[in-house]
Amino acid sequence: METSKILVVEDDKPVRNLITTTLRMHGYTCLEAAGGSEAVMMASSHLPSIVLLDLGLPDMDGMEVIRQIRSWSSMPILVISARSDDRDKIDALDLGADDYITKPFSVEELLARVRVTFRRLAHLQKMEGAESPLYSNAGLKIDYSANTVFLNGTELHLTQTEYRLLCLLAQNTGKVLTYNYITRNIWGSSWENNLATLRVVMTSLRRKLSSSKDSEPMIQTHVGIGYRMVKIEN
Amino acid sequence: MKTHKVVVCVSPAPSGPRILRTAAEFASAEEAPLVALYVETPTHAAISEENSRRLDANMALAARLGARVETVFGEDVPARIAEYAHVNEVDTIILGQSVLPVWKTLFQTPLSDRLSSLLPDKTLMIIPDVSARPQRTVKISQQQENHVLKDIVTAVLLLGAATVLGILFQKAGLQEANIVTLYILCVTLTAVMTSSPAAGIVSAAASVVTFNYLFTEPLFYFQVYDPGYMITFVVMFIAAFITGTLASRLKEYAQQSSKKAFRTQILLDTSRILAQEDSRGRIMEVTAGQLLKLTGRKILIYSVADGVPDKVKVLEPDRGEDRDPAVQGTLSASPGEEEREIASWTLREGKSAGAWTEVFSRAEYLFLPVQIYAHSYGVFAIGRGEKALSSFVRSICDSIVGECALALENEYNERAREEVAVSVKNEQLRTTLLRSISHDLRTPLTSIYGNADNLLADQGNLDEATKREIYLDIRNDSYWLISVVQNLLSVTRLENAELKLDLNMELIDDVIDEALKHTDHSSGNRSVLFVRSRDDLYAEMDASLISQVIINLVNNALKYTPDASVIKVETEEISAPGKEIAVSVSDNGDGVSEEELPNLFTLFYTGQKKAPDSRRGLGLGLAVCRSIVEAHGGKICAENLIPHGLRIWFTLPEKEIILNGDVEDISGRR
Repeated sequence: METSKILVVEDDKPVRNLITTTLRMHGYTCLEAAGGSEAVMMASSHLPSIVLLDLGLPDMDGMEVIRQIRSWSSMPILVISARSDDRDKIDALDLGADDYITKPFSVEELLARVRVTFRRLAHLQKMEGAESPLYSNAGLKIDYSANTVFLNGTELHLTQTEYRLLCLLAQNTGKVLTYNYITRNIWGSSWENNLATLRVVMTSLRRKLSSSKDSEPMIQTHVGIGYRMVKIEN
Repeated sequence: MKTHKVVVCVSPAPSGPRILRTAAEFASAEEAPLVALYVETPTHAAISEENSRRLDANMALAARLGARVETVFGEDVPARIAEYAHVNEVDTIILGQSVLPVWKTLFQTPLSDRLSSLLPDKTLMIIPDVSARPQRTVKISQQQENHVLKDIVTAVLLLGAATVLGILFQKAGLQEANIVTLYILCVTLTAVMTSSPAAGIVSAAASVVTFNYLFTEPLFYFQVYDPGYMITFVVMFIAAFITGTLASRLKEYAQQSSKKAFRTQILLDTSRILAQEDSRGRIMEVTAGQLLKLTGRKILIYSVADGVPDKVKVLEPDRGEDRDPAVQGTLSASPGEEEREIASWTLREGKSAGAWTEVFSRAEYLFLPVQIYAHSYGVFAIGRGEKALSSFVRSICDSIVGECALALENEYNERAREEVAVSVKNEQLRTTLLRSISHDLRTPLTSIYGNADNLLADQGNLDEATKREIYLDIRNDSYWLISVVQNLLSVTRLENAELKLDLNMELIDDVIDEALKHTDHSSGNRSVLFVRSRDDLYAEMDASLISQVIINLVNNALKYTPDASVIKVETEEISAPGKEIAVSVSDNGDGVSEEELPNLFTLFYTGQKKAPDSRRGLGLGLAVCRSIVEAHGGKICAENLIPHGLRIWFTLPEKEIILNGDVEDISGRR
């Protein structure tokens, strides 16, 4: 895998060793940075596929690193946070980070997140160039131009809000969307009441999407953070 | 340290302000609290209007100078002052004293001499005052003229009645002594029935003259033939005068004591009612009720937050119930910014202000600070009304507000004591927690540290199976550390501020899914089963804390059940009494003994039973669960299952979501 270059930004050496060892064992190439300014520099010079970013850096706030990278690139950023406070993760996601992982994490968890991000990257590359009016993910098909949704060949009857929510998630497949982001995109504001409404709409949307009980749910909930549509490989 | 106390005696004398200022300067130099004492004598009601006005002014000045104004009752002024000084442990007494003419000192001992003989151990400061000649001239006002007129009519009528009866007695041939007695009765009645103390004397003189004119030879002449009658006249006048004076004195006493009784009654009532209240707001309201009862005027109650007036409540005389000033309408003179400003001034300075005082005297209310020592608890404002409050009512108001301050002080101290008790308990809890944690953290750390050392020192002696066992131990110990740290974080969050729960509407299934991701998966071949029932149960919760509860319950079940046990997580909706969501975690293990059930949720309770795999338990998990669930307004219970197993369930108030119209099908857009 030539393009699977991952930039690991982490100031704590043992954790950085753990992450790089794990990733190298699974065939990824790793770049290491111990500080924020070093990370920004390496990101611009080496153009890694993914950035794994620890939020608590000695020289620069992790948020600032995201802001600087996002000013010129849309490369996926996976945030590693030791803080169990959801607020940080939400802020990072709202600033443009793609996913998050909380310390302490297991090796499997880390690898799973990295895999999801690569899948999303591949999906984006496939979509590039051809602005396709069609979206498909497992049994789900969305025809943006005709405003229709099909699940396993049969048309789904969705309300306007459900449809907009589904489109928003589909267009950001693989990325965690915060409640704030979703409500702002659907209702134009992030009132408390809208969050409650979002829950209900999501419940009914999931009911309509769940064709078979045992299958992996297409839309994941990140409690306290947001939702994510995952790409399901056939 | 003994606190000094300075008492200054207030009098209606024009030099009063000078004495008060001197006393205030002295007290502030001594850093001693100042009390302005006024001894109200039974003749108080008879003092001239000018004196009464001056007395009020002096009292007001005393209050402004920061003195606490107190009034005591009694005829013997020095004795009352001495008694007060003795009871209140006063150190210094300051009083103004007029320089008596030499001849007067023969009959009258100066106040200072009497005081110094009564209080040999106190400091007495005398401020000489030449001008302090008590004003005896009675200025006749319109109102008093009416009184005088009424008094004259009463006296004349009584005298006439006595004369008519006297004539009848004479006709009946009774002795003159009877007629004399009749006139003495007349004078006594006059003294009782009139308000002026002079009426008795005038009536006595008039009686003598009338008796002389009508009943002694020569009749109808102001002359007597028998010189023996002169003695009769003198005796008659003296007798009439004395009885008359006594009678009017009696009447004054009666008035005085009824006022005193009224004052005592209202203060007793206040302190009795206040003793029953234990919240700050209620104490203020009850006091305002008493003030309203006393004055019959609108009362404003300002509570205090951070040293400035916070909220205001209005008590109206006609309804006597609490009403929000905001709903009073525009016409009513609801308290506005101006009132708030005066209230904050009152609070800052600790002095009364507003109507009838020298500060903000045009205000519609009289503002009284509720203050004791250095603490300010609020401000009461009494409406101006039509007439100024008399100094008597004012002094009762001050006493009531003083009672209120005392009650608030007590309440404050009580609360402070409780807070200290709670913090001591928290401190103990924290110490226990720390001790228990340091032990329970050290054990797995030792194991990890040692195992890692072993692996490093290994020269190829360890076989694969042993190594695998060591790896597993490291992993499990680390997991244990992670869960302890998570629980500690939860405890800290709950302790810091119970109100800082990050409440959000959450789908309970999502939270359970999230929690099950974090449970200990390495527990042999026990299985965890999430039985989904409904996918639309929502509750308002702090998701990370509630998922901690589920993690703890499931991990506990995993830890204490034998191999191959099945752990079930279920959700259920309970519709009575209120709508609630119950989440239960049940296992088919051995359960716990009945006597252990109630202790399960106690902090640091680890039970008698050893976990099958002999793993440590902190006794923290279930206690944390209970704290979290109770902070959410739910409850947590445990019960044994039949034939065997344990079920722990907790409830959360269910939240129903009202959806704002989203029923349109997207096909409608086409």
